[in-house]
Amino acid sequence: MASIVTQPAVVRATGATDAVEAFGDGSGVTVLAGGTIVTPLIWHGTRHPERVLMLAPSALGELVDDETLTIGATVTLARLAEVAPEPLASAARLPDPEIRGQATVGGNLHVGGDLQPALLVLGARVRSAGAGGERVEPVADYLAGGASRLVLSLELERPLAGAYLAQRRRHSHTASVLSVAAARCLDGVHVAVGSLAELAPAVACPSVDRALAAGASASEAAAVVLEDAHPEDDSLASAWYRRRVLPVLVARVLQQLGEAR
Amino acid sequence: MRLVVNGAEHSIDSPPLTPLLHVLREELRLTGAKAGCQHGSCGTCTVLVDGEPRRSCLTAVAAVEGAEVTTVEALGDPSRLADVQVAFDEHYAAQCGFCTSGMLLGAAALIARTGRPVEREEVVEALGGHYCRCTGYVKIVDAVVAASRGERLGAMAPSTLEIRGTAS
Repeated sequence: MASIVTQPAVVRATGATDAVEAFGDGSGVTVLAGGTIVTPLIWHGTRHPERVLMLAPSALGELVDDETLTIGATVTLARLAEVAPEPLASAARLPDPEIRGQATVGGNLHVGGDLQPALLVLGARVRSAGAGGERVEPVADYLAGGASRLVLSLELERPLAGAYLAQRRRHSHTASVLSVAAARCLDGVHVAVGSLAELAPAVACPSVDRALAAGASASEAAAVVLEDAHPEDDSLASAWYRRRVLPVLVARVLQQLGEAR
Repeated sequence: MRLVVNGAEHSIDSPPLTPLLHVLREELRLTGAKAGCQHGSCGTCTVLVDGEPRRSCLTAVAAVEGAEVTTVEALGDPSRLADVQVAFDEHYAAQCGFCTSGMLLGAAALIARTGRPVEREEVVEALGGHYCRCTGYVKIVDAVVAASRGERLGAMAPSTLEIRGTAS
């Protein structure tokens, strides 16, 4: 049996106030909720946290389905798939049902997860706590800032339509090779791509958005995706392969979006 | 820390971040849940937590304090197998058997949750995170569908019962 060489201090939080207080400025803290990523990392010695903040499912489990959809960080992907609009619902359905029942929104956001491109095209905001107190910011800014805070919840509005595709082994508990999300919103169509490299944050694709706004077809718009997305080599795929496949996936997502009502 | 497993309460000495899988196998000596990939990818370690299938290799034991954990040992016993176990036996759904305990619990949860005969597509979806490296999926799906319908092919052969043991 493997074992943890040095046992970290474990703090458990059952409510938002407890969680924020225990997280503090986040130094030395590893947050554990569903545990689908963090538990094996700690157990197999890949991560050596000083302190672990264990979040109970109820700790940040708010879910308000109003004009704005508010999703607490410990809401599971299974629950998210039931209430979220496309393309977020499809992204939440990627893992198998047992992982979906355990993995949380907040965890997925932090590991280059498949929710990221969907949240980008929906213009989602992240409410987080950490150094400097509580704040709300666009998900793109949160990811660009290193995503090192305690996510409390996500906020988003429903789009007119959405579409999502990921290249991966079905229901595998690994990162995707590539993922693409698109949403038709009141201000136009937005496209974002994820899994460009291991743990790389998803990126928006304004070049594709602009091409579509100018009247380009799905395949014409998809052809400019590499102006915004810069794939890298990792253990799942080479940058060369990703560059070849990405425009194809984007074109398919846009065709799917065109058919969506 | 106290843990309720198969209806019995246990006092646990393992540290709080120990995966439930290792507490079950090494502290409680319940070896039905198998240590496969130990990264949540294969499904062999699946147990029920408050009736829902969960990967015990991904679940810190402290996260299930106060919950009801059910392992394959409580699904049935050799003298009185659960319906889904009978179906696996009758349909030859177990080959090497390493994935079987996880498959059984995932299937039992699906049947309990739906409360009606299930379709093959539902079984494929529900057990999508369970890998059978003997590739015996067709018979596994047959068995789960049959169990959900309460179908019995007939009495089990005595020789089948004799070889049943407690692999670890």
